[in-house]
Amino acid sequence: MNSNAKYLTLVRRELWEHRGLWMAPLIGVALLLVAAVWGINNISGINISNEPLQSPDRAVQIGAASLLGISSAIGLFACIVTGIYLLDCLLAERKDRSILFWKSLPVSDAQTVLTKLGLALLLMPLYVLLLSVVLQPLLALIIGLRFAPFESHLGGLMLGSLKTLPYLAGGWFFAVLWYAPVATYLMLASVLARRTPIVYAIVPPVALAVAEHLLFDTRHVASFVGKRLAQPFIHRAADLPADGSINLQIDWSMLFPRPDLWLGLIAAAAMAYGVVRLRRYRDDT
Amino acid sequence: MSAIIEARGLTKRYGSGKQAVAGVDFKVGAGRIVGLIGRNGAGKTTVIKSILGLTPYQGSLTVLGRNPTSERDVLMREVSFIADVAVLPKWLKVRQALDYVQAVHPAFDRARAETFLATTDVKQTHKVRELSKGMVTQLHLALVLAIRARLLVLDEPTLGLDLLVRRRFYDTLLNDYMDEERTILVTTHQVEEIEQLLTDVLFIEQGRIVLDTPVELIGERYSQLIVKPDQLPAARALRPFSERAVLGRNVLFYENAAREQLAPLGDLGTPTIADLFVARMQQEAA
Repeated sequence: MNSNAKYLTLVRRELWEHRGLWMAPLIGVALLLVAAVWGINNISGINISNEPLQSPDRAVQIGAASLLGISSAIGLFACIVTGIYLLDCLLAERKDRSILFWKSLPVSDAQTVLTKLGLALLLMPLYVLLLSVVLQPLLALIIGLRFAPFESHLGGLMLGSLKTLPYLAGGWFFAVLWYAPVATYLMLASVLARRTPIVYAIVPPVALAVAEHLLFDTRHVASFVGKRLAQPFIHRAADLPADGSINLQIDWSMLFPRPDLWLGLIAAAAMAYGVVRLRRYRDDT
Repeated sequence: MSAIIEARGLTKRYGSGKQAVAGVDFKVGAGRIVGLIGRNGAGKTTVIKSILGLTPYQGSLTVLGRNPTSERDVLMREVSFIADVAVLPKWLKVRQALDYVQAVHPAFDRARAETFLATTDVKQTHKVRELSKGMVTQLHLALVLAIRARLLVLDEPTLGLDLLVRRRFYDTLLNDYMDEERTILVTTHQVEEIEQLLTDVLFIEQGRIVLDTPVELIGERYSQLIVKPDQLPAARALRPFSERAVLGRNVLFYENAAREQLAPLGDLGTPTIADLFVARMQQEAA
């Protein structure tokens, strides 16, 4: 038995139980496809066939923008189901007492917790990236069927998305580092909760923010949480330069020295350790 | 006799300050089938959970030479556990259960599990939620028999099952699992059912071990006397530790009594484990 097979199966186990993890992004893909087909057949008055695709540069830019847009849309679905998954994953096994089965096998608490965290933080972003890369040419094809002449611009569209891919992957990579403490915080709520872990996740920061506001009339807690949740780390499609140039680059020299990134990662590691310890010692079955 | 499980001063307090287990000492040797017998709430499950590393405890406890809390994952390569039937998750398919155990357990023999399952009504495409309670137990038993661990821990494994399934469960265990290398620790409150298989009994009451003996020594140590009515005062004078009236006859239980003194007073015999358990519980209550 090799350890790769073991970890692969630990991940498969998560996907058997939480099918929403892989299904919800697929539903996002399906909705985008349906919207695209519906849109080209029903929206009249927009004639994008003449203007935007006229120049090869514009095709490249549209290729880039559509990949970013698609990835954001699927990513949103993925983030929601991943959040729900993290809140549920360590409570569900206690609720149905299956933890007694899982713990009767030679899998450590650390392996279990890290598998769940790795699925949320590594595999889900990769999955979104993969779906985006597959979906984007499909959408381009659907739109192109309607707005001929298309064939001449397919190369430009693909070039645009190809050029954007490293940027997109880098953006997701930074997002993973940035949101790691959020993920471990949700797992902490899951391992502590007796029921409705979302209450465990939401009540402490809200209570702190309200108390702070009432006592000191300041908003540090709220702004701290807001900054962590909504940190703008990646360009939106709308942020693309208007001149058609595709020169998207993540300025790592700006991002990596940020102390809040590293403090967040330290907090994530501490919370992950706490989750492992709590799963080991928690006994309410 | 090398100890598979050794507990010294094993204690468990819950938040309320109540002691579920109050400093117990016991040893389980290799190749034994030990019944941990007690009433509901006596502390059986807490002892089991401590042995499996599922709950923190005070005192000293080693299982196969390891600390069960900090080394649970390593320990579980050689220890198997079946709780009452509700612990296999409902969403799990039978095939997935086999896949999972095969991937995480180095000593799992999948063919063996499949062979056993083929003799049951459990299909690999079934989900646990589609199985009856008895079938879920058979599935769990199939997984455990295919692991052939050194120590098997059973906590009320046949709770809520019908007689045929219960009987088959224990028959399979004895025929397919047990040999001199393996050890079983089983808890139940239905003593009669496993009486025949046990080599040792541990009685637990209110968190304390009140009896710890090999079954073969019960006959030497304990006597049961069905007293002739006219001999009752004489029999009582020999200090029975418990007394019971059944169908108008008095049954008296003695510990370390001289059998030649008891024999003339009625029908002398050895108590069953179930009778002994009830007698000890009455003694505890008195």
